[in-house]
This record gives sequence, structure tokens and C-alpha cells, in this order.
Amino acid sequence: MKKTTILISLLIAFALILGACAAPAAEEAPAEEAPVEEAAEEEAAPAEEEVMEEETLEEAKGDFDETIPADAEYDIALVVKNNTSPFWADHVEGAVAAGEDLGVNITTHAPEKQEDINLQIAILEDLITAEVDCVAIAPANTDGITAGIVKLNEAGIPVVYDNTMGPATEPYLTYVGIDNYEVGLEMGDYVANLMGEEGNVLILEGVQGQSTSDQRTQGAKDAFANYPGIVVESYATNWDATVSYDITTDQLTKLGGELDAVVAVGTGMAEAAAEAVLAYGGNLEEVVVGSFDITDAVIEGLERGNVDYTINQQPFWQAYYSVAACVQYLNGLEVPDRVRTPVAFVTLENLDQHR
Amino acid sequence: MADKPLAVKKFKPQLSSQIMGTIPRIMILLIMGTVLAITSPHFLKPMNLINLMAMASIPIVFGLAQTIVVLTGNIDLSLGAIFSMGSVITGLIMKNMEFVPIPIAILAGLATGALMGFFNGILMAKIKLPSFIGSFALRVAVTGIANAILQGYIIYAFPENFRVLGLSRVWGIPVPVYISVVTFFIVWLILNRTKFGRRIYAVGANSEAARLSGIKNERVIIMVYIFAGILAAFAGILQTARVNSTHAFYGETSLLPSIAAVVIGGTSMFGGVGGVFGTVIGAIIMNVIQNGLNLLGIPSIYQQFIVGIIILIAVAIDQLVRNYTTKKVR
Repeated sequence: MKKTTILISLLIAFALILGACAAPAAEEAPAEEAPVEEAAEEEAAPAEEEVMEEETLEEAKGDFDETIPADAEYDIALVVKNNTSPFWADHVEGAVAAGEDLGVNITTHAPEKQEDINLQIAILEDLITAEVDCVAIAPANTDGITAGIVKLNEAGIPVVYDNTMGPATEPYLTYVGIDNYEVGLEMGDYVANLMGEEGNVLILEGVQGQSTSDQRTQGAKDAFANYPGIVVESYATNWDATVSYDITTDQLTKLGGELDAVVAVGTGMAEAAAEAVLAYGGNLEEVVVGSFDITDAVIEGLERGNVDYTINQQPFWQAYYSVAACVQYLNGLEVPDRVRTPVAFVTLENLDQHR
Repeated sequence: MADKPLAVKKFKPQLSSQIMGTIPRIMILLIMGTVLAITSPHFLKPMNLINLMAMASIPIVFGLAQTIVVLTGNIDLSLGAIFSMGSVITGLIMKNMEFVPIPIAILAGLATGALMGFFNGILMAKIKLPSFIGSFALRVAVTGIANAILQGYIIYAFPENFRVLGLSRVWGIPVPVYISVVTFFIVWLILNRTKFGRRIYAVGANSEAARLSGIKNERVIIMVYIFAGILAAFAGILQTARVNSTHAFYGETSLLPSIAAVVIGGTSMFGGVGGVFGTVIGAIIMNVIQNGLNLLGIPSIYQQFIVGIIILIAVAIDQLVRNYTTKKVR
């Protein structure tokens, strides 16, 4: 008797919860607008002044001139997050190239243990001892690096944040990098264009609450909101290929195969989504699949025609501009407190320039 | 009704109790199915049910690995890393050594899983580390090795002959479904029809009593970890065949759902009680929840919360039924 009562009450509770979940789904279409608008307002403050149009490459940096040569042979240090990934190897290359072009000495440093903030701080201490003239750093953790930055400031060494922002509470020269929200906006417009401004879009987010993922996603949503013919759904994948695959499959089921674009805000997800479309029996020529960053896997995806475009953050130029910002400051010129680096949309046509 | 205390005394898993124990879980599954069938017009589509089977099949294989470890009263937190490592080794061989036949590449991945499992076994059985510490340390090490090998790269696009394992369909049913059914039967037979299986239950139920009755506990635990390592690597290889990519952190997101599947399946975290059939139901429940939330369009930000609540309810129902039946036996 008692058992049945407990069981039944629990099962009813369970059914109620699932039922409650179903309710918002019923008014899905109108509800879609509201959170986007709300979030757009929140974003309005930090967002940049103007919405970028089809701006890519050189225009992004605005007035910043990365070609001003050094007045003297300065010692400039670049500190990156690790020395294993291709992404940071490109940074090192960019800094070295800037050193040659602008006539300064470049040293590059990375923690031996990946993304280790304490080792990065130790590197900064060594750089103070070595009396370098300027430091460009990609902090492994925005706030965690604070102790090292305080010491740099005490030693009177200017610091440039390369790719990743450092603590805003400490003085710094400038931040050089992409604006993730604007990249999201560009991404949305680009995809909307490819899909003829109508259809169903699936956004594959990374981890909710992580600024990179959130800003790119919000940008894309805000861009898509300008196209009345486009319906957007967006899910977190934890940057995971399998989760992306399963979500894409479920989305195809739900839409009866009428999925027109999959937009990944990070790398490693779009290729899996394309596999899900193929496994579903879909035609990849009718589905826009967008990836992020340039890796061997993404390049192979582009070559196979599974991936339609990817976004190159051009880490080479991030480091290059960081060095150039140091040079300008040391020359006694004024440096803007924010230098935006260009992103490029890479497709099969222009792939060769980005390998 | 189920009388687990007796089963423990006899060192023998009783089939009737295993089957009875899964009834509340099957009911949960049926109710979830009914609710979803009502709320989503897509849930009962044949296509969705087939996809659901394919989605659940790899978590089932992976969940079996965790189940046999949990049955001994231990846990294996390194299984996600072994999942990744097995698929990375198989993937690297297929990508870089095309002259190697695919079955050999798969065997190499499985052997890697066995080796990692062996290390686990040594840590837990010989050095006597608590399993959550030892396997956590191994997880960090294995992930580190995989990351050092791949240097952050993703391996992508494998031969069609290999992808048959994850993609092809026989009589309309995806191949991974058959593979998971066969794997389930093999593990079930080993647990229920062999001495080794009975020893696993005995060690988990009461390791001191098992030792006194002449069972070599250390050997059983090492074997269990090797077995789990092979199964985890196998799951990773299957996942790669399905999704067509792999990387150093490939299995990390699968670890917690696999432990949840074991717990929902009714296998006691203290060992000795439960079984693989429950885990199969547990893995299916986990995937039905996820599939349902996606079909209903629930925003990701609420999904985790809902999954958590459902796991809690499932485990609570299980415990209530268990309390009730134990009382009744007394």
C-alpha cells in the first residue's frame, strides 16, 4: 500500500516536471525573440560603437599602423599560453616576423606545463630581472595573472595583452585581439547571406558562461535576429564533438531534415555536425556548415566539402600587432587602448592563403 | 521478492533479484516515453527511435565498463581518458599507417585500454590506493599523454571500412546497436555464468569474507580494471567510427553520464549489488532524457538542472523500493 502511494506520488512529480518542460516549447516561436532582445540590451553597453559590415582583414585595425619601425633596438618579450598547440606557434611566428620587420629583439616564452598561470608569473619575474623593454602576454587566466602584472608595473615595464585580456584593474598599454561579439555578428550575417536569408539555424555553443562562447553566440543571435525568415536554436556542447553530433541529429529529427545551417562558435564541432547530417541522409550541399579556427581537421573538412567556411583569428597578426604596439609606445607615440585584429572567413577558394 | 542480503551471503548474484530490481527503472523509462510521446510529435517517429538506439549504444558499452568496476566496490575515474586514448591510438594508426589492416588498428586501441586498466589494477590492488584517487591520477596522466601525442590536434576523417562500425545499418538498425547488444550479453555471461563473475560480486559484497573463502582479491581487481579498460577503449573506438573524429579529451564528457547510468541502473556504489542489465536501462534513460530535452527545445541552460532532477528522482524511487522490499524480507 505504502509503496504504491510513494511510487505514484513520485511518478506524478516526475510527469509534472517533464510536462512543465514541454510548456515553453509550445510557445517556442514567439519566445525566441524575447531572450535575444533582452540579451542584446545587456550586450549593448560593452559592444563596440558600430556594427561591422562586410569588414574583414586589414580594415579591422582602424587607424593602428603596424608598420612604424623602432627608433632603437628594444627588447620585447612575448609570453604565450603553451608551446604545443599550433595556435600559439603561429603567435610566436608573428612576433618574430614583427621583430624582423620593425627592427627589435624578440624573445618568446611559454610555461612548460600547459596554461599554468604560476609558471607564467615566474616567467614575468625573470623578464623583470632581464630588464626587457616591453612585454606582450596572453594570460592563461585573466585574473590569475594579476600578481605578475603588478610586478611588471612596479618595474615600469609596459604590458600588452595579446589575444586574451588581463586584469582590467591594473594599468596596461593595450589589448590586441578579436572582438568575439563582433565576430559573432559577422558570422551571423555571413551565414544568413549563404542561406538566402531564410531557414533554420542551429548554433553550437561551447560552454555557457565562458566569455568567448557567450559573446560569439550572442553576436550571431543578434545578427540573425535581423532576418525575419531565419529561425535560430542554440545549444551548449561543452566544445564536444559527440554532443554536437547528437544535438544536430535531434535537431534534424525535430525539423524533419529542414535544417539549413549549423554554426559552430569553436573548433572541432562543425565537422561532427556535418557527419550527423550525412548519417541522417541529408545533403551537405543544402546545409551551410560553419567552423571556427584553422586546424588540420577543419582544413580536411573544407576540402571534403563537409565544412563550408571557417573563421581564422589570424593569431600571427595578433602577436605581430602586439609587438607593433610595444614599438609605438617605446617610440613615444600614443597607442589606442584597444587594437582590434582582423578575422578572415576561410572557404575552399581562399584556403591556400590561410594554411 | 528480491533478497539481496541472502544473495550476498551466497556470493551469488541472483537473477530474479536483478530482474525485479530493474522493474522500477523500466517503469520510469516507460513513463518518460509516454510523457515525451505526448509532448513531442517527433519522439515516436521511427527515425528518432532508431537514432535514440544508436545514441544509447555507445554509452551502454561504456557504462558496462564502469559497472564491473563499481560491482567490486571501486570506481574508475580514468575510463573517460582510456576511452579517449583507445580511440586516439586506433585513429593515429589508421591515419598515419595506412598499410596496417583496420582490425589490427582496433586491436592496438583495445590493447592500450587493457594496459591502462592494468596500471589501474596495480594502483588499486597492489599499492592499495583508494580507487577514486588512483584512477583520478591515472586519468590525468593518460589525458596528458594523449595531449602530448596529439599536441592539441583533432584527428578527423577515417576510412569508410572503419566507419561501417559506427554508421552502417543492417535491417534498418545501426551497427552500434548490434555491437552493444552482443557486448552486453558477453559481459552478462561473464558476470553471471563464470567463476570470475561470481568472484567480482563476492569481492564487492565483502572483500574480507571473499579473501577468507580463498578468492585472490587482488587478482580479481586487476582483471576487472583490465576488462573495464578494454571496454572503455572499445566504446571510444566505436564513437570515433560514428562521429568521425577524436582528440585527447574525447571521452571526458562521457564519464559522468556513464557513472549516472550505473547509479540509475541500481548498482550499489558500495559494490556487490546490481548488474549490467540495470546499467543498460540507466544508459537508455540518460539518452532518452537528453533526446527529449533536445526535441522539446529546452534551452541548454536548464537542461543540466532537469537532468539532475530526473536522476535524483530515479535514484530516490529506487532507494524507496529497496527500503520497502528489504523491510518486507525481514
